[in-house]
Amino acid sequence: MTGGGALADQVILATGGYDHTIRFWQAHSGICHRTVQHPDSQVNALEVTPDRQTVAVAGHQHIRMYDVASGNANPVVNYEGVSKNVTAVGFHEEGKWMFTGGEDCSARIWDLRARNLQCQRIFQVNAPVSCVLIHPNQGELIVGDQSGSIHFWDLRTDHNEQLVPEADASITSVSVDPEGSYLASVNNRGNCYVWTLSGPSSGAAAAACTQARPKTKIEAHRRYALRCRFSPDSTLLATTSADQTTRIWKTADFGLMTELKCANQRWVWDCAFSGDSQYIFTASSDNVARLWSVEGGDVKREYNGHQKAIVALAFSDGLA
Amino acid sequence: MAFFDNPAFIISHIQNSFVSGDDTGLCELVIVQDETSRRPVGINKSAWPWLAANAEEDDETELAHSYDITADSLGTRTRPRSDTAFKLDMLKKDKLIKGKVKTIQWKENVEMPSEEDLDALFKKKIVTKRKKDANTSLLTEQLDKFPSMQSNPFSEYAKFNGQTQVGIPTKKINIFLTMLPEGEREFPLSVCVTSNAKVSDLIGLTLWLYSCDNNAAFLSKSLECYTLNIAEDDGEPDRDFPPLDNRETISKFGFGTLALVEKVCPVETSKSLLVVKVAVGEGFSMFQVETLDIKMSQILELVLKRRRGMMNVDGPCYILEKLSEPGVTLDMDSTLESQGTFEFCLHREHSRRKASIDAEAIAIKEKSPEIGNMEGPFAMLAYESFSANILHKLWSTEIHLGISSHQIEIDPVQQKGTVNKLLAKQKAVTYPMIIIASCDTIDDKTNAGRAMFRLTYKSAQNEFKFVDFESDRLTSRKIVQKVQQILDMRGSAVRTEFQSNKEKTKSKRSSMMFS
Repeated sequence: MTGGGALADQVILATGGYDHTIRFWQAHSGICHRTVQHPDSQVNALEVTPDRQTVAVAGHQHIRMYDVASGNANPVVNYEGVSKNVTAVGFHEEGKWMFTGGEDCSARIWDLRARNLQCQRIFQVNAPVSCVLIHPNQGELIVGDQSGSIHFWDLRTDHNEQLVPEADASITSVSVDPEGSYLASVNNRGNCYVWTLSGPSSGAAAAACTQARPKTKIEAHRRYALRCRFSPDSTLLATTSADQTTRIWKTADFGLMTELKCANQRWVWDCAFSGDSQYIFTASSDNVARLWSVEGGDVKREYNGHQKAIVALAFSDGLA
Repeated sequence: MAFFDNPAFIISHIQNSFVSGDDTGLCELVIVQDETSRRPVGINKSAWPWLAANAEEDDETELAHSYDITADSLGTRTRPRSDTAFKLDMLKKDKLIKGKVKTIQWKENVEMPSEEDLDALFKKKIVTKRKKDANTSLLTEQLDKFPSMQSNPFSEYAKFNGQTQVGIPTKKINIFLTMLPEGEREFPLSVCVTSNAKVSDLIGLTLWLYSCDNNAAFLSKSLECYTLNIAEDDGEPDRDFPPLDNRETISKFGFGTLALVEKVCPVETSKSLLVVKVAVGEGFSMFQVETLDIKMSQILELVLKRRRGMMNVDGPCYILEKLSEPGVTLDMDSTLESQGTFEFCLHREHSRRKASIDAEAIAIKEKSPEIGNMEGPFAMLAYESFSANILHKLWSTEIHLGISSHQIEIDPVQQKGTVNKLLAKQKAVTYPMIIIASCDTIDDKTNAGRAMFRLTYKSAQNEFKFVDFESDRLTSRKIVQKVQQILDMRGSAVRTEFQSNKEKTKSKRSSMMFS
């Protein structure tokens, strides 16, 4: 699937949270241009589909897909049959399948191909899943759970391995940089662990599982860390936290580069870098999403409109 | 068929209700006796002349004229729908929506996909290192295109925009922005606001909506500068009513049309006046200070803090000078007020200033020998408001002096004490700039840092008249300087006439002295 027509040149910013709405913003002006209701459930996670036509919304027992461009206030597709909260959602880069993770202690693969051969797969763990991530090689899922384990699930072979960075601490978020060289995870104690990933470099060994070697531990925040994300150019790592800040670390030495904070901000739940890694969006419990300059550490735009905490955001940039 | 717009029916219904609802029977006695004596059958048309038009309905009204009929049995309301019907309706609606939504159900226990499928779906690709290119993203490009949105002080009020809310009660109000130029202010801005918003929130939202669609550089940065007033349908604010209280929730009011009025904003202007400019190296640092009492040492600290990282800073090595007086080190314990200028120069002790700064200092000196030019010449033409006292023979009244390139406005400030109220009969006056002859400081030496200045203008009777004002020394200087600059730029006939008159008197005097 390729970028869809008129949408290819559009910047998409969507936010959602506890007020049961999803808002679409004009990113450069801070104007909310559309609000759709997400009935019966808060929004746990948001992701723009690879074709940039829809936004996937993970909520309680549902994953719903909403049109980005049309005025349709109702979802176009509704995925159901999950027993508890869906906490994570993401896509294969070509849109072949969707993955989700949830409090029912499982990660799932949903077939998105137009043909009606349903290939649904499930991966069970022992604790509620808090985050799921696709490895840039598109063949492995990395699943973090509340018991503190990070699982590597090889989708081709169904083989899996697990890492436990810190006992009795639950994993809140994981991230792999776009080059596939680092894995980062943050936990409820505010610590951030980084591994170096060594994947197969040639075609012959491509089937082998990715190996992770511990690289460093950062005491990133004093309190609950909520999200970690590598920048698109792999040079930065952002961590957000209940301590009301976002911190940006350089991947060169994993030293602190900037701290993003402002007086009104409360828990920072989610973040997303711009395509050129110059800016970062954050979503906070003070009902405001913000755009920050990574270099200057100052707020560039504020997105006001939500009536309750914003806990998820989805962003898709375009290259000029 | 009886309608509620049928007065005969209503009267009859009220009577029935009284009679049937009253257990004592007193109502029946009074009403029945009274009615029957006045009107044996139905309603007496001569007593109820407006009923003639409803003549054809009279038969039915008479049928209903029975005291046994009570309010409940009349079926005046539509019968409430049964819960079942309601639920069925909801289900039908849901089904309709769901019909358009493709639902995909999770299938339990599906068998492992075939090898082909596994290969097609889950084949790993080799992750290649990305080229490090310096492409900017679309977002960055857009942000650069609209830099003004960053400083919009009203963005926080966007959350009261009812148009972007779902499931929350909202209210639509047409708001006329009276401070807009003619041609624009005649058209109201249709604002949809959430019902929980306060009046001040609505003001913020209106300014936000306006500034989103228009270049709103002229809007004041503070909500304090605006009030919402009750307005006519054509947008003319109704001055007989006070502005709406900013703290009230908007849902309390039933107005469909309001007017946003800009008021003179003393807080804002007095703050923005205090901009200190310090030359550092090749550039300048500009920052605002709260008060004139700030010490020069604090200003030095502010500059060094601002410039940290750009230069190797060690506190005691740096000194401040007035931009206009090179070589004279300022006393760090003196206040900003005592300097008489807002322009300074920072440099290292025992070192000389850069030539470029000196050149600028000389240029400034030539331009205005007394006070450094605080802002560009064009800023001088912009509207500014000052607090001052207008001097009468025995008392003075506090006023706001609004100066723009076209006119000078004098607006009295609301007085609190009763004595002041009696004395303060100052009316709002506007002098067009064409009739202003001059503005001069007349007494700079009075106590407590106050200064007097005089505004001379040509009255309608072709005479030169003057008004005296008093304010703190700095404001006085600013006002005098501003008016003089505007007058210089405009070069009006009145001013030339006044100046030549002055020259004549002067030469007369001197000729008298020497003759």
